[in-house]
Amino acid sequence: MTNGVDLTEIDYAPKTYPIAIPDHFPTFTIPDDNPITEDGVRLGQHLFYDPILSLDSTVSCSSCHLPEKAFTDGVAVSTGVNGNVGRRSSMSLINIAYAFNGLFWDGRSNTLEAQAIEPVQDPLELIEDWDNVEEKLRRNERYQTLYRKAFGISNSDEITRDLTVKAISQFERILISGDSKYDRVEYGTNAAYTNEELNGRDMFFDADPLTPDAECGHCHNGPLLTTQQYINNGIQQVEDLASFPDKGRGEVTGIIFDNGKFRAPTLRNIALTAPYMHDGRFETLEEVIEHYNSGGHFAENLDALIQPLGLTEEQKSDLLAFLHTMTDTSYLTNPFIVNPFD
Amino acid sequence: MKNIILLAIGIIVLSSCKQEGDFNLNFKGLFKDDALVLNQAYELDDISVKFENLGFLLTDISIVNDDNESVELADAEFVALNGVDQAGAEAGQVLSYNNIPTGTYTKLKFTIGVPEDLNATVPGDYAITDPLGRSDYYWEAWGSYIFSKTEGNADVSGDGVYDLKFFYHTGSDALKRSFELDREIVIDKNSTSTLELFLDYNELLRNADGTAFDIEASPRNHDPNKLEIVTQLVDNYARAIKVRS
Ligand code: HEC
Ligand code: HEC
Repeated sequence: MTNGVDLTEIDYAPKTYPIAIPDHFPTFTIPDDNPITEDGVRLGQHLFYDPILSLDSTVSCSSCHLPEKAFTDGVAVSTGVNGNVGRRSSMSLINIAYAFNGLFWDGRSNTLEAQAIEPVQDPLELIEDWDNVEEKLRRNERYQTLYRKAFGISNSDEITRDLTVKAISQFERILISGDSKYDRVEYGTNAAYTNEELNGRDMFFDADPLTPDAECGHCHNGPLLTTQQYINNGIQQVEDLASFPDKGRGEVTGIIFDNGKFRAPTLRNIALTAPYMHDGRFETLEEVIEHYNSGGHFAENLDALIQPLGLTEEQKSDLLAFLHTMTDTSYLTNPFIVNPFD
Repeated sequence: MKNIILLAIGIIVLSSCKQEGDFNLNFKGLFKDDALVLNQAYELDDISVKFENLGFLLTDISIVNDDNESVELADAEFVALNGVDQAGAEAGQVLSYNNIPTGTYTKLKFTIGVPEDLNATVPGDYAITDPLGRSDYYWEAWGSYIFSKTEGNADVSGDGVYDLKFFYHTGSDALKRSFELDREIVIDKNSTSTLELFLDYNELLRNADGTAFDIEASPRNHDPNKLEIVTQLVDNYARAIKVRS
């Protein structure tokens, strides 16, 4: 009944992938129906970097999620197949396994598996049809082997979108970073901040009564440097709650008070992920700090913590120095993470 | 919403033979007699306020029977009173506990806040989805979990614009408060009994003399040297917590 290729000759010997979770990190849940195996990650890694998922084989996940930019793309809003320009900025995928409060800037997707369905068919991203993707993968010898090894399928016809998003999700769950200077100083034993960094740190976490409270830590708290809450941080000037150009969370919940709220992203590797905010409106971290220092634009749902901070030039540069301690690119040495086609 | 205080426990008895039943703790926000809806205007004496974010950490939850035997229900729970419409506010948040030995219990015990041993831990010690894994309820500078958040917007000038943002965050060991509510809770086999607990925010934001907090003068409390207002807030739990079953 099936016309696919028999794969039973290929070895299927799944081995658990040894995820290294830093001691100071929380744990996260791996779905029972998608355990992380070395071959599963290997498959996900290939899919992630392979333009085969796109309509014209020009764009892959990694086109907008570049490993050296902490899996963002360096532009304000992303460009997909045919040069179609999206409306939002790409998001870092670092420590994405910890997402528990919804994915995307607005939280419209709940699991990595569900999320990965979207880019393929998104008219502004890969614009491909999942039936075609399945066909292309089934005919591809490399993928016949990779799917067999990852999931033990016995025939190439068993390659499905479901297995595809599972493999991509396994790959995404191993994108863990917890070895920045920030981690080593806060949670390790023999690293120390410079004076500037320490001063910035104390403002970030309101830890020193002698320096202004910059309040950052309330929304970008450690160790993951995000609380994953939906917040209006005051970047958008609006007449009223109905007039946000991008309603963000409100688009998902339908609640007007959620308009203009976006998920507070991680600040891990923030020095690598310019430009900033959901629409990439700020080119530099200096501009971001200037925004927070100003107190942002009023709206009824502007978060109470966003208020004029009164930072001096020196304090702003100290805060910036602290943000630079959050960079960690050690994951780039992991052969399971980098581009397998290079 | 009248007669909130007191009354017997309502139980739906289903048939079965195992000697265990289920228990629901149903938390709801109140403002005076009304279910508290977020972002809706309430009059706190002469100031109009809208609440935006209400949540707390609840720990050491147990029920105790006549023989003084207690059944631990949970170490820690996170409760968010985030009803954004009437139905959501009236539903509140339900904490469900299954397989409780049947019998008549006479007390419910819980703490709002985190006991010292657990407060010495940090979110990184837990699963990201655990109540104590929530980094938005941990504050490094205090070395403490944030026990509760009461956040909102006030219209102090009466011009219809809710432009005074207020927040009261409680935390640090001295601000946890423990409660023992004398209440008959009957757990019957294979049935669920529900206890409704209300938190009246009209009672919470008041000074000892009963006057409303001066939200304009003290809209926020991050100064660790100024604990008066949040100490008053946690002391008010005793009268802000109301029970119905
Ligand atoms: C054309 C650029 C583009 C491509 C291609 C793309 N993404 Fe994205 N990605 C984005 C943008 C932009 C967002 C944020 C979109 C939003 O919030 O609406 C995003 C968000 C995400 C998120 C959510 C992150 C978070 O923190 O919530 C994940 C996960 C993700 N992408 C994975 C993938 C995967 C897997 C692929 C390939 C199947 C992919 N992306 C392809 C641009 C892209
Ligand atoms: C009240 C919560 C809150 C506070 C306080 C806060 N942020 Fe944010 N931050 C957010 C939210 C929400 C976003 C995303 C907003 C958007 O894109 O619309 C964000 C975005 C950012 C970004 C851009 C991230 C990216 O990937 O594009 C940076 C950088 C940042 N914040 C730094 C800071 C610093 C530094 C402070 C302290 C001065 C601070 N934040 C205080 C909530 C907050």
